Amino acid sequence: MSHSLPWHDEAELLGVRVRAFFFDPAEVDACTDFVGRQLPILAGSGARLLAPEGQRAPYRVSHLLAQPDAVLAHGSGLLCLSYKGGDGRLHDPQTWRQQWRADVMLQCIAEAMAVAGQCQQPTAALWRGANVLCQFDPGPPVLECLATHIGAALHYWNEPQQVSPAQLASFCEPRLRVLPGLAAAEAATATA
Amino acid sequence: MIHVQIASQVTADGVDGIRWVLVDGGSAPAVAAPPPAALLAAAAEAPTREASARSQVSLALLKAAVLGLGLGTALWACQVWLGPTTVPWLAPSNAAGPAQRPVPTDSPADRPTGVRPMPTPNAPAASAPLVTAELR
Repeated sequence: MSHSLPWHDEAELLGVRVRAFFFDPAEVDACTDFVGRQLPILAGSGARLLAPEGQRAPYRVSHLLAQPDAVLAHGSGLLCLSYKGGDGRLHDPQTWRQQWRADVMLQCIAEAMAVAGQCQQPTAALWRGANVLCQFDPGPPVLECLATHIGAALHYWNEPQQVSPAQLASFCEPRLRVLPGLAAAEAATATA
Repeated sequence: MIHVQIASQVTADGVDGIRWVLVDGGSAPAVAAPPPAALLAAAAEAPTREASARSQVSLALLKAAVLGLGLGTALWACQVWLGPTTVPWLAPSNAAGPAQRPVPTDSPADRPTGVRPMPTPNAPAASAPLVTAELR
């Protein structure tokens, strides 16, 4: 029996279901345990780092090469965590949707794809901001867009061998924004 | 094709709700092969170069035509307003004109009968004595 986690909020942003957990950074940053500090919602769980803290191992699928900040084994799957991206701003629990950066979100999902492709294990994409931890559940259009545009992004950025998750995310974001279903949902979210 | 599984949920025990997608695992493109962007740029550049050369040639021809037309018009206007040119090298037929012009003969054989020759007019003023000399 799986126990769901106590997420504080969730929203559909650019075709991705985003679950958010807000915390007090002063309290959480004082934790000595990596999982308790970077994944406060999973504090005390059995998640463990695959590589020593701070060591960024490369993961590759097709021409996509990622170096996530941390990869953890968690049950039968993996957690791909990014905590160095973003602008370091605090997110307001009431207005965090308006502060959201889609490029950071897509970059995290692309990193998780690289990890999942190389390790051949189900991988969850997570991002830890200054005071929020988010888990991304990308819909099929987002996954298909990222998966099918790796070659195009490679040519677009004029890279001979590989493309980074940031480059892929930057290439795919405008294409996702013009998808009819996603554009309508985005407009509704912005006005909410 | 590479099978990629993204977990849609994280639980306290692990991950749940698998979404999967296929990623094309094609081999890396050859480094020597230019990317399509470069090919497109080169393809777009070649016609531009040809068109530029063509336009330069046609511009030069147009300039020459305009210059020639202007020069011709100027020469024609000069000829109409000022008369035939007297520059020998420009109009050699005019230079030799007076010598070859037919001169009317004044022989009695050519004259019709009953017609007396007109008296020769006075010599030009240059050969006549000045009037001032007579007054003296």
